Amino acid sequence: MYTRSQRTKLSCPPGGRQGARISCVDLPALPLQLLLSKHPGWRDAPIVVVQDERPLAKILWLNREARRAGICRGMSFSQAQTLSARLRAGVVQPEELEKAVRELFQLLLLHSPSVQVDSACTGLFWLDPNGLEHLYGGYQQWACQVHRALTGRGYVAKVVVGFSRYLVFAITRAIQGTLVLCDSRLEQRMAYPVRLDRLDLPPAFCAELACLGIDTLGRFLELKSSQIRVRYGAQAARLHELASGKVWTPLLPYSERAPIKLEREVDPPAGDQSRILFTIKSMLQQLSGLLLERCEAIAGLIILFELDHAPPHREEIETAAPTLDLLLIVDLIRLRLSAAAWAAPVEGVEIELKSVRVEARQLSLLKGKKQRDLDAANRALARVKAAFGADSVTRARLRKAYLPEASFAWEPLGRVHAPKPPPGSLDMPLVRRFCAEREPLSAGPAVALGPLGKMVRRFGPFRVAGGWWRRRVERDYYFVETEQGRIFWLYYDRPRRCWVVHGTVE
Amino acid sequence: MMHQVSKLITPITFTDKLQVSVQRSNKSAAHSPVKPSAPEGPVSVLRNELAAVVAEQRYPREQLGLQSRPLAEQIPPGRLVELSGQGDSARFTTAVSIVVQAQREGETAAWVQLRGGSLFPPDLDESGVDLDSLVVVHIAPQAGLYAIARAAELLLRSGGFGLVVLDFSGPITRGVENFCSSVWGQTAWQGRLLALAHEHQSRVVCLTDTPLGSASLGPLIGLRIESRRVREAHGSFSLDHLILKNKVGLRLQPAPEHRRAPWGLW
Repeated sequence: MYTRSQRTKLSCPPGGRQGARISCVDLPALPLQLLLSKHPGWRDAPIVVVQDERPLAKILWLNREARRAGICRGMSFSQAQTLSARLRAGVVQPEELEKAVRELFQLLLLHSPSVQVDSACTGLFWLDPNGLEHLYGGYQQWACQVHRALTGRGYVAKVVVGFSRYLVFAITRAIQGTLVLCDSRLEQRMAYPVRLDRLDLPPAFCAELACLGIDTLGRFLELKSSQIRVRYGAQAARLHELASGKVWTPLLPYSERAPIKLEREVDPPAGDQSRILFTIKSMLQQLSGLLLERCEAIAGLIILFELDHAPPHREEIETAAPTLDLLLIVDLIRLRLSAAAWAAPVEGVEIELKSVRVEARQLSLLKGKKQRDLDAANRALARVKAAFGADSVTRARLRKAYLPEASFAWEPLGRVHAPKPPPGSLDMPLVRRFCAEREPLSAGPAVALGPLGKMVRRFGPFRVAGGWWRRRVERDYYFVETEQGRIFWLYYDRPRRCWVVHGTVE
Repeated sequence: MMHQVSKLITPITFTDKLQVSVQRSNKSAAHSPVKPSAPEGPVSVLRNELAAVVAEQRYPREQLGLQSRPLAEQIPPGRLVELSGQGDSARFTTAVSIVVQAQREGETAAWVQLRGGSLFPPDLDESGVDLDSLVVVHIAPQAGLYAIARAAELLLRSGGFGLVVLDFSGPITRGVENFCSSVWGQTAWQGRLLALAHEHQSRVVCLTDTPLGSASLGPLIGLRIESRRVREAHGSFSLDHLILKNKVGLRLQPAPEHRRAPWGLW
């Protein structure tokens, strides 16, 4: 389990630290390597990693033997079988892949404090080797150590130390073993001949460029960035800028997530189990919020009881399945505590949670969230109507009118519906509080607003006029800010020659 | 040394003490028409900030993988929340953003106010509220503020509402004669609403005019927030949320939110 920590700006002129190095560790076709590690006897046969165990499942990864047999990515397993009778296939579950990446991450952390797992490319890691050359006796020795650590675990790996992120990545795709680049010009010379189809670019894009005779990175970089944007879109232009060094991305190292721990002092020390249990319950409530924010559920917990003048007592509890049901966990703790005997009163409790990541949808299931019963809501509305009058339950209906008080109406509500809010808007306004019953102010806002305070700012006037055929309305609307920071929404009623507060901004 | 300090300043110890102090002050205030003042103003803010600093040092948010989120996304279900303030307060805007968030989560929402209350639907519509599904209950002023709580109880008891907003604020409520005796410091209605909110995992939000230095509605209020608007630039404001009371057992650090001014104000 790893999370993004503080950004470290690295490498890559312009904008980066001059002379700073970056290292790329590539484990080519990692799912295929994992499949081979499970079936070492398949090494000489054509092998493919398929999406799932169906004849029509797509081929995701394949080895050289399979490629020689004419099999390619995206082909279905049944099609591939017709091309090679010796074909071997297997499924690598995402959990297996994630576990392997986690192990590799832990392994690489032993060689650099800043390790980034590339989310876009499976089996690709970025390391910060800066400063480590003094410890290892040079970048070459450091790269060899990293390479040896990976091959020692049975992986095929490549390690390149260079200056520019994208060029280092390109070189990694072209070499075997380790390589340390001593200057950026050499890096360019080595990266430019790398074929585009080795850089995980969309095949259609590569094919389109190949029609123009552009099949290497160097030739691609000879094109103008602006032309690429026009012809191939923003993504291709971004790629060009990254490769040419016009833009750069910093290393985003990942660090291990801190364990969720909480300790609490029990003062005075208590031997009473129910008191300890309630202390633990409140601690769990506090921790459950953190779990929710991290999208995790409790799979177990370790409780350490600090005893008064006695060695601490440790209890470990595991749940049947990851859960956020605190009552269930408290019940398990109660059962465990009822069987425990302490040598001395407890003076402190420390809880460490074992948590697992769950999907947001699972989390809502674990929380026991259920759909609202609209029939029950409608019954409640009927009760409110019975208690407070039939016109008490309403909903707002907007109307087209020029006067604010006429721009909406309250209409009786029969049944409540499930909400369908419009998509999120970034342009949300401050909301006005509306005064339905308006009383004229004793003083105008020229200097003071009477009991409302002293005016410091005024915005307006905004004229609203009409209704001459019935009752002439002519208002000058203003927003007035007072010394206390309140903002009033008021108007000057011209025919009646008075100031009226229409609302406030809250 | 830091370890010892952090042991002494655990958030729950503080909230427990606070609960006792507020209960005491509310007992004395039950028969008084004047709102009681409790050590819940600047002292409370300082305490919360101190606890947050200590907790931050022990469990840095970045390490825990936490990000500051808007307040509306952090309002916990099953608790009584009070949005209070005067002057440059933005409690109405905050309440509306909570309604929007609840509706986005698919929750049914209700707003209970006195008849002739302050809700201005055009602004709600602009904020993204689905007005067709927002139930607005109007209580006759002569029924008193307690009737607002009673209506909310009827709604919550059904389990059909995910959010109920009780508007005890605004000029209209000041004219209601039994304001102090009916709602302020009374824990019975709060206890019932809290139990119902907890049972049905609903959010209950109370809007009050309580100033910063005064006590909250009662000891069962789990979260009290004062939202303030600060002018940022031409026609743009920022909402800063001050957590005055937090008994929910979850450290809240709401991110400042940006709002545009209504047309005509800049």
